Amino acid sequence: MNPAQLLLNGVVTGLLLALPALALTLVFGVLKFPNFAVGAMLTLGAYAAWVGSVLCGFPLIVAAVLAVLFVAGASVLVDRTVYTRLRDRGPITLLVASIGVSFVLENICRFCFGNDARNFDVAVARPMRWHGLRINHEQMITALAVVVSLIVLHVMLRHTPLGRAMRAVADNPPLAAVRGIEREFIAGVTWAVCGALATIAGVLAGLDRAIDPLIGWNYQISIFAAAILGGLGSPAGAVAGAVLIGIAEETSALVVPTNYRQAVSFTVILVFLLFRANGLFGRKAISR
Amino acid sequence: MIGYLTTIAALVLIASLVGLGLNMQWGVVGLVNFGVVGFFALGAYVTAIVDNGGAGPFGGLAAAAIACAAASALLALLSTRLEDDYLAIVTIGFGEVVRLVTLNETWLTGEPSESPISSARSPAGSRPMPIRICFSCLQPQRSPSCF
Amino acid sequence: MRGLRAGYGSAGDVVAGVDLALPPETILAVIGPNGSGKSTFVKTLVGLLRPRAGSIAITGRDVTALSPARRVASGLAYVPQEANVFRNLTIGENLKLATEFLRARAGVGHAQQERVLALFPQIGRRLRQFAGNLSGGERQMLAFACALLANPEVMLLDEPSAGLSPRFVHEIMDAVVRVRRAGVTVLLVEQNVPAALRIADEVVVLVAGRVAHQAPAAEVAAADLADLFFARASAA
Repeated sequence: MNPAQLLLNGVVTGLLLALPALALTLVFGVLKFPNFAVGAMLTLGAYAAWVGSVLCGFPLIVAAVLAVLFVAGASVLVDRTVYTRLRDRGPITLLVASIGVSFVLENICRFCFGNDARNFDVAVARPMRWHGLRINHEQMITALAVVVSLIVLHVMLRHTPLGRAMRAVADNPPLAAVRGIEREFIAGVTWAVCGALATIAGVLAGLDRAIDPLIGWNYQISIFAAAILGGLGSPAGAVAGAVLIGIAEETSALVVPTNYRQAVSFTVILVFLLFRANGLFGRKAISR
Repeated sequence: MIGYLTTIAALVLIASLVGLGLNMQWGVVGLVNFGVVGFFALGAYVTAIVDNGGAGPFGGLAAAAIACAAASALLALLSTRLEDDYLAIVTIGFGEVVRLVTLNETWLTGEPSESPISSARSPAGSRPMPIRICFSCLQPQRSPSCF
Repeated sequence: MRGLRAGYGSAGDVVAGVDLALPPETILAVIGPNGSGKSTFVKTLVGLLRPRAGSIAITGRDVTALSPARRVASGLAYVPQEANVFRNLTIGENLKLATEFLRARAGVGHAQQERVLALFPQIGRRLRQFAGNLSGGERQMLAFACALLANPEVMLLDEPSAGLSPRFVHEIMDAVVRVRRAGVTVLLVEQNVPAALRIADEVVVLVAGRVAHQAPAAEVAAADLADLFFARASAA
């Protein structure tokens, strides 16, 4: 296959991964634990958008926006019921709790929609051709949606009080409390953002492949690999890591059967955790 | 009725064994391991494959012990270098990779629906089989990663 | 505060029954031997540690049940001993954050900002620098400034002179005096007893979590500190 095509596919896949990787890294930075439920939130988002678009008949954009609001709200609800009382219990306890949340969310989807694959009602369009490369519509939508989301998030984190507060809580929670920032409020905002990002990724994933209860889980290892590669806690790192993982997975198709894409990502996780634990941009040193 | 109860009892015992192993490794020693199912699967498949290959059930157990010990040694290398939440992620990944391999390498492990253990020939009835499975699950606990 | 008791986890009381009233617009120095519970005491006052018993009130309003953020909005300010600035944020962002979530508080605004930056001119000049790159003394200044920006009624300072060169110690103590003159009540926990005594009005000696002695600063300055720190609790 044309290496430039692989690169393009890799970059687009990576862009799709960037959103949940960012969600994961934000929760890790602000709330200090790896959110195992990020794949399940993606699944929930995909199904929510499917309900809006196919069952209720809204245009996909409208359904996506509604899905974002729904999953953001659901994430805050999960935080209030599950994570609030575990707030200071340490990352492993919270990780286990998020594993539980992951099972519950995935099985809610399974319970409501069964195991059959679903699809958005999107008209099939012929891919564009540009300099010998094949670019299909889903890829363009993915690239556009992700870039816009990233810009919005960047502005929010760097230039708004809320973003500053999130970074403050990530840096020093007791000091943030003493400066008037309610930690619970920021936790809620972080979860809402995480849910929103995962939902957008879910919608984009649903355009690319069939929606079933495992759609999020199939990305899970890649999401973790991307966030770890970029350095857990660093938003810029999550994006860079995601693009690199996307490229690595696509180009690995030359060497390894496609079923093992996740194994490729897992190897990346292993290598980085062993030799460069803070990832590319991370500041926290983590080896004992 | 007795057969049903025996099966339930066997499943309970298997689960208890795995739980005890994890309790010792994580609860007592403090080594996070979310990939226990990976060892479980590894032990089960190696036992079945070697048993089907003609080495008999105990040959299968021995092979399973070696295979799990080797895998554990690898993970042991990691657990000295990684902090808790990162070790958790890596062990989850390990479990996933084992699942992927067993799912995809059907030339080795048979089709997903057809359980190799049940197709293995057992000397008498169903009782020896759960015992074999129990032993193969014991292997992860003897691994270097526990020390 | 009345009958304050606090501790960590299942350990014993670190603060074992403190009754203290801060007269307004004074500087109260809290001194005591190591491990007497001074830092724990301040953390309980600001709300980072929940008291096991007792109550805390600011100008009559009971704040015992309030979270640290709400207490700060009620007029309490706190400068911790370490980790007192956001190291991964710039000076400008630190300063902005000091007031962004306290909009409801009276007196927070441009005028207050001008006053505070006049007090610490070096800070105003380098807004884009990351707070983590500042020296210890400069971080202390920044932390102090951030606390002041909230226009507090009461300021809690936990060992502001710790690790600072004499010049910075002098500057900080100077700032404390000016703050008191501006109408703020200051509770100052200090290991550097001479520096504290120079500016304090009242002194409280905390020993093993209890108030062992409370007297005007002049009296304490004249007394033998060893007697105060290691003698049994005497009637104040």
